[in-house]
Amino acid sequence: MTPELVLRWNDLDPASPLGEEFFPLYMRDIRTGTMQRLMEWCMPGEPITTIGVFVEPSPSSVVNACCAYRNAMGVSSTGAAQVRARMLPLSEADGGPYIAPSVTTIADGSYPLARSLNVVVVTDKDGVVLPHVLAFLRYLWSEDGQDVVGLCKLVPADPTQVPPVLGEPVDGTWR
Amino acid sequence: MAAHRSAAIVLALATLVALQPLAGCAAPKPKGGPGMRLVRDERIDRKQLEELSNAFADRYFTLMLSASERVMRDNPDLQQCRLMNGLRLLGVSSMYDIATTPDTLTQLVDQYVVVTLQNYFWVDSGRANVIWKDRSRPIEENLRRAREDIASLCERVFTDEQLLELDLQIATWWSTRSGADFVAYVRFTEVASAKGQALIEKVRDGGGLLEPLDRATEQLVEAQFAYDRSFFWAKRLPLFANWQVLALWYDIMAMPDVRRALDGVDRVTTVVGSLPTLLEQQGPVVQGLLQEYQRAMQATTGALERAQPLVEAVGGVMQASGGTIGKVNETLDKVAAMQARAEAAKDPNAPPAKPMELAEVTALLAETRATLTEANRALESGDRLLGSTAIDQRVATVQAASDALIDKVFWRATAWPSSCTATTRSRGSRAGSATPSSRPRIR
Repeated sequence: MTPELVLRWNDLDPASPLGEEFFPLYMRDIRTGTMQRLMEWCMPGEPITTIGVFVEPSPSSVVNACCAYRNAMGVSSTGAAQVRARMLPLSEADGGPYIAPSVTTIADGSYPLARSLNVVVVTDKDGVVLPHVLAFLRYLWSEDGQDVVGLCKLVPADPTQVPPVLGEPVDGTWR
Repeated sequence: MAAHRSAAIVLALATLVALQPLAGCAAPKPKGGPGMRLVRDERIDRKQLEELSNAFADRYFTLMLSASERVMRDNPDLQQCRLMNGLRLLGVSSMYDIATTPDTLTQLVDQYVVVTLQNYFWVDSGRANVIWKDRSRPIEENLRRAREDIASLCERVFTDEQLLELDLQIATWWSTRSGADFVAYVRFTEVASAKGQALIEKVRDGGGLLEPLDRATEQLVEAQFAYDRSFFWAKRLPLFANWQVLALWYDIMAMPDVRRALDGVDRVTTVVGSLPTLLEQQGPVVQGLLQEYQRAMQATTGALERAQPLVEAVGGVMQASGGTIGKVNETLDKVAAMQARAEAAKDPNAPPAKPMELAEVTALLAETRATLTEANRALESGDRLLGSTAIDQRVATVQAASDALIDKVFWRATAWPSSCTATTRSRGSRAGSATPSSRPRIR
């Protein structure tokens, strides 16, 4: 990941008030979508070899560690963000610009470390989505459904990019 | 890869919603098939789980005691001390309350829920840091350690997917009720949706925790668990007496009028000399406060009195409890000494203080001490251990004398042997209906 050994906070920033304290890394299992996306983005093909890694049972537990231990780092989804833990801005290139995660920056793609949440459904052998499944998907794409998505602290889908399988909303109904 | 990226791997991976129909894809198979044991660690049995749950309650007490002592020691801020004392009193009493509920799996899940919610409320929200400022680190870290401990325990029972589901249930509940002050007394039955309840039932029914037992064996096992829980609670009950006394003093000191009269001086040892005058000035308010605490103290001491017959009947608790009660008495001595200093330091020009309030406090302390001493004596009387038939009579006595707190602790214990034909589910639901009436009234 980096040519230099980075173990302590002052390895990252000599002026860090945390000085020579080690930073434990809290994360989910590397098989989760979150961790896969992270590794794909910043360390493709490399394993996580750092010491002091703690695998947590849930995203909220990762964030909780970062809230409680002042020297901790963590990787979690923005949906689990809490006041006491700081989310760091990221940059695609050296020197910035560094983009903080927000609904706007995630939706417009300027925040680099985002991923899609895929909804996978089963179709019949002719590729036709079953009626009750289609009804659920249309609800998911409706205003009410996207409100629920927002309440779950996910970033709603782009309303202009309706999947063709759903048809088109015309005068308040799906056609 | 650029170094700036490695430095920025913190708490930020956003998710967008997308849709991908997949033709001909097989539906995922459920992990637990018919007859499959769902408990992760198949070696663990119910008794071990019960012991682990009790051990966690003790561990939680240690963590809270350690953190609170570090926050309160030499702390001149009265409000910080008062809130810390209230937090530990509520948290620890809740944890022991859970540990004495009749259903082992419910105990575990309730402990998980309470500790997780406490972390949301105090740590993640930054509330602990706002209140205790640069002293907040011990409580933030120890609440987190409690969460790590209970998670490790739950990992022996639940699969990763089940734990994730449990966390999701709690997070969903919290997202709509994040202002709840009494998180220490929230239970899983309140948090869980139907899906969450089903998850627990699935583990309970398929996990081997409640292996099929014939009726007689089950009765014996349940009776033993009930007795064990009673003694577990009885041994630890004295711990709360001194915290309740402290809570009373902190609440008196923190009253707005008292604080105004004290002219902003925070240190308890400095202001204690002015107490008689202040108590007189704030007569009705103080009276109300004293009565409120008197009820709480009486509930505690009453529980101790009723614990005596049970405690007498079982050996093995004397040594552990003797030291604890001795420690409580030391604390009570200190409080009494504070009162004596208050009397001695009375302003000679101040009007005579009403003796009633102080006398009431003194009587309260004396009563508590007498009860604790009596309980201590009972604990030390190892030569009076009784046989099993006498236990039944004593249990009946305890049952007859039950009050709100007893209902919460011992009624469940003593009712068990005669009602163990109830199903597991009904026992679980009783566990979730802990009566809030005897909660300490401290925030």
